Amino acid sequence: MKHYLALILSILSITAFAQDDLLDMLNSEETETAPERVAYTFKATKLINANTIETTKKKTLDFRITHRFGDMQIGEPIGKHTVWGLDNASNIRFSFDYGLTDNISLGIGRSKTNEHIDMSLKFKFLHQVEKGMPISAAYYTNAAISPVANIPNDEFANRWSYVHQLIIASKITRGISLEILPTLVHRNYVTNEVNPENGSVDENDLFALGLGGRFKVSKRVSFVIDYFLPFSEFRTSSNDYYHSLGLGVEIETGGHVFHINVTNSEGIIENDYIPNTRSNWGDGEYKLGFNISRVFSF
Amino acid sequence: MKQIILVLAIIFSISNLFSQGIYKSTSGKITFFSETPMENINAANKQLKALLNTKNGEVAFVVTNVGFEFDKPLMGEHFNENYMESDKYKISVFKGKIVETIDYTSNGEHKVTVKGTIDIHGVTQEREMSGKLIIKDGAIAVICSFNVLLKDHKIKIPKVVTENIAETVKVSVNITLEEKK
Repeated sequence: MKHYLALILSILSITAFAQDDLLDMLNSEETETAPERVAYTFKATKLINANTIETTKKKTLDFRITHRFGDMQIGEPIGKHTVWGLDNASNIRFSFDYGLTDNISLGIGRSKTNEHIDMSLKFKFLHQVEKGMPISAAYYTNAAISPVANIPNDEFANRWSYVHQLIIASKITRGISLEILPTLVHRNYVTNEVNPENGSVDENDLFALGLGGRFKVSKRVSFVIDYFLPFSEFRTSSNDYYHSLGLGVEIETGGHVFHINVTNSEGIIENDYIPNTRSNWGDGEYKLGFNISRVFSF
Repeated sequence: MKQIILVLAIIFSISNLFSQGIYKSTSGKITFFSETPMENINAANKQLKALLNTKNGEVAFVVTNVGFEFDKPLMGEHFNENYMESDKYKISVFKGKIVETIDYTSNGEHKVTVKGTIDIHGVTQEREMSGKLIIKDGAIAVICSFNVLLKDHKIKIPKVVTENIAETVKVSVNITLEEKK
């Protein structure tokens, strides 16, 4: 009896080792590889106005031109006289972002509105992984100075504003990426203006929550959207303040990422579009705009 | 008791017999090269696994697509996102057989032909390639290069970048295998 048992065992051991398919063998010996990071949550470092989780990669320079035309005012008599805003340039921003590492990038930019010069840092500290961590996260901060002539209460410190932002993003599927952006804008100087409706005054520290998304239509074309909700009693529509909302199409052409968008905010940096969006989608005060990003490698 | 020990010994010797002759990759890389007048694109990948059965000449290669490293990060992004679709097609696989009968036990250099199937971008193609085996002190180096026609694997290059990406890319394999224990 023992002999038979041993014989059966030995036959079993032979069949176990005699798997003739090498591929099966390769697959069966699962090596302990690092969990795979989910990459390319977004195409560029910005959606329309909102930052994305993406940083400029190591030793690459991202040159961006962001342009906002004037209010389109479709349906109003003035609309066709300005070719729906194309005659006007509400805002233009040029910026350079450089990747120190694959997760840390530094940037500098200059906008037309408030003549803002902004210096920024973005640090991606959490990576989404397949079958693991469901989100990516990054911290963004900037400091911006407005060197305009003749400000009230003209002191150097009063010209500065700052942003701290947490970017939490998730690539839900191949085609859908979403993000939320809790944001704090601190402005060193605000006017004493009072909201006549509720008697509140403007705040130095302004909290806002941003939402953004990308929806792929094809490999190279996506629909993008971003929205910012400021938590401010002073910013009511009766006081002529509105929430920033942008809709756009993102097109990738080789080395460029091109956006055509429509947004009601004039500002392009957080220091501007979160506190200062005074145009209303409902009144036709949305502007055609474009973002172009060109990445150079060194 | 003695009998059991004897049987166990037999089992082990038999299983040893069957595990012999399988060689496994210990180091190496797969590179590819695309050349056009506008731009050359180079990428190297060390995330690979390979097995060779010296008993019958069967070979299997598996390479992880996201493992290709490029000179410029944007090239990698385009490769993974637009062409290889690495999130959908995670690996590329070659499975085949060395046609010639080779003596793997003694040092030497052999020109070989390998026949099999290659799976890139979810499309499997029958291929025959020639390469070289260098056997030295129990280690086998596999050196092989071949062309991949992108059209064969349904990798579409849009018109705007046809000047930057070649229709045919040259793939080079250089792997060292040692006997699996």
